[in-house]
Amino acid sequence: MVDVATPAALPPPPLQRPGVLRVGALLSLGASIMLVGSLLGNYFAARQAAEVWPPEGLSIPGTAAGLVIVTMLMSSFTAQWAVAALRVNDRRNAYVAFGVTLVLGAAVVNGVAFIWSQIGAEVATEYGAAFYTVTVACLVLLVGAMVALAVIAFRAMAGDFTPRDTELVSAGVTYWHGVVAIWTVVGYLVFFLEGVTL
Amino acid sequence: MSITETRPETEAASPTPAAPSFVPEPPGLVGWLTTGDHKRIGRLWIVTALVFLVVGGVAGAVLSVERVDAGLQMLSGEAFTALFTLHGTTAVFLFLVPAVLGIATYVVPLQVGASNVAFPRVSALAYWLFALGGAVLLASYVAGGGPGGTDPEAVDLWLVSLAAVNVATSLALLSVLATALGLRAPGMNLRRTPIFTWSVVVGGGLMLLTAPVLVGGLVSTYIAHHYLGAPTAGWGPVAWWFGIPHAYLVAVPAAGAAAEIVPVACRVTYRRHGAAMGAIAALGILGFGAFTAAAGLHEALTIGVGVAAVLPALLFLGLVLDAVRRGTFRLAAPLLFALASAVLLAAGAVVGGFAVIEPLELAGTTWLVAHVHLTLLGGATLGVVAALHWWAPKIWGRAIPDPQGYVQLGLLLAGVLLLSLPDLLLGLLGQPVGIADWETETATVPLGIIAATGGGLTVLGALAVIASLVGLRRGEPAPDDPWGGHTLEWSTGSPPPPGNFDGPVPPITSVTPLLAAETAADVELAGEAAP
Repeated sequence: MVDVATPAALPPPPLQRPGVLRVGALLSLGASIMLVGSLLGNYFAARQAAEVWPPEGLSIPGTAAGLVIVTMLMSSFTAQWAVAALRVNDRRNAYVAFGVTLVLGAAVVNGVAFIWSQIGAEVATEYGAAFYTVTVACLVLLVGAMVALAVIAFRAMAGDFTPRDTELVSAGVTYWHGVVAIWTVVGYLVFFLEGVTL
Repeated sequence: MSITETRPETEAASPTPAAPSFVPEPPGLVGWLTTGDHKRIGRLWIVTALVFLVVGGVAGAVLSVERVDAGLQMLSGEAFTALFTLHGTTAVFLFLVPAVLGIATYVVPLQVGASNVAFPRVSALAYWLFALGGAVLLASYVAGGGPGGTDPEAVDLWLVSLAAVNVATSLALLSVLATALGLRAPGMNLRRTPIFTWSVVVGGGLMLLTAPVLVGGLVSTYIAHHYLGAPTAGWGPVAWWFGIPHAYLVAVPAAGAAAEIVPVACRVTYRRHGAAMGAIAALGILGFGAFTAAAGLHEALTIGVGVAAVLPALLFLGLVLDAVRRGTFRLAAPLLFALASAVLLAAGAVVGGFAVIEPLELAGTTWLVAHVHLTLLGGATLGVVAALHWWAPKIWGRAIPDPQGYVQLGLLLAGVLLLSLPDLLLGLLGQPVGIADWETETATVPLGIIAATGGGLTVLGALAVIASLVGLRRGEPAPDDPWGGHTLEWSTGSPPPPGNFDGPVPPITSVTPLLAAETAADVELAGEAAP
């Protein structure tokens, strides 16, 4: 007897919608980009209104600024490495990738703190207010993404996620990529456009 | 610490997914404080927004009385400015947007066939942040804050609390949008999404992109005020939210509610459903006014968008009126509210179209106040009240009696018109916005009295709406589908049970799934009856 599948036994029709976690990540990313865009708009409005910008004597350490951007870009690859590893159930590689990504994120936080300590701009100046507002906001986004990725990494270490169920990891990494893109653009505009000192 | 390197395969043991089980929430206050149920969160948003509406409405009424006569000095200049901005911020940020969010948080999961809102804890967090931020915002005014405030610390508090309210709004929007986009029933593609949910996707999505721009502006203003010693915060970082074209974006979900109500109440469907969706989408896109936050860069774009927005508003009104013309209906209160909302939204768009034409020199005059009142108080607020009437059986399990609705509509409609028409005339005469005592040779006192009467009637209308909702406790339980609804929320109980639906939602094949199911059942019955 030939085993014929009856209509009732057929799988349900595919859902015509994206995963809710990915949607949430993309919406959060859109809002984050608009927030940073708004702050950048105010930064450039202040820049346009100022007679001297940046203030004389102020220098942004170029090596540190370059390292911040390069480190962020590298973290995008390691974050994606974690997703790829989980999709083939290579959990050891996934843990390493998560760990490296978080270390790179921490290095960026450290790099930005170093830049802040070196430029010597007071908050209570036009330049300082605009510069710190943009960079602090971006740093908050980065730390938020690091916390999210750490939670995802711990859940993976506790046994969550299968090769077919990596939506949360993909969503977290999608947001991470967005933060990397934000940092790349912001880093170029507020570090290199202002003239770094090499 | 032990690290799992191979995930334990547990899925094989349960080939069919288990039915979702819902743990009952704790009773009483603890249940409300810790709730993650979209129905409770939605009700919290709505009730809190209505409380804030009273504050904003009373502030607006006092302003309109003060403006009657230049000789009338109820308020000092500073107090007038504070009350003016309090009225604006409360009406929009603490009433209109939260009320829409409350209705969306309640209704959207039901319309898309979801058991709860996406990210329910985020949704709950958003509400509590909003409630706290709103209370602090009002307290900051009492302490001398606001854009032109005299107390620097209170001004800082105003900036922070308004930013918190908008962060809360963004979080709530994130939750609702993720529900609408990611938790739809099988087969419900975007074209089959109910039109209210569609309007929330369009309006809420674009608002999610503009709220952070406002937050960014508030943060920059806070830095300038707190660290750079700017004397006042200024109204600039906020005012664009009420202006042309952004006011249309705020009105989009309310227009979506009106668009949902009219065809069902008239027992028809839109001749071109896609056109209705397109009109709402166009109004939302044209209302994306984030660019107006950057002063000096936007004049040409504002003119173009302000004029262009007339078209989708008129198209929307035309589609609604076409449904009325083809339909058979009784004069139910939600239908009347929805029609009034559509007409006033179109009127607001036309008024806005004139406002951006430079040779008319209406910019900066009370013509813009009339535009805001027609668009947001008329189009949007009446749309919100229409939605409250329409979905009251689902939200509270009781219907608001039509006679109460007629009284509310009479008060609110008369209030909006009496409030707006004098401002249109005063705008033509050149009266600037936000001025308490405008000296002119023209006798404007009668116009001021008419506007003050309108302000009073609007407050009475708002109180009547609140009284109706409070009185619902004594009403008869409503049936599951009192309107002959077309969309999924009417297929479940009033109010819905935990999990919203008793079983899995079947695949959706139409934009009006209940109507399609009813038609199919009729065809089947006719087939059985045929010889």
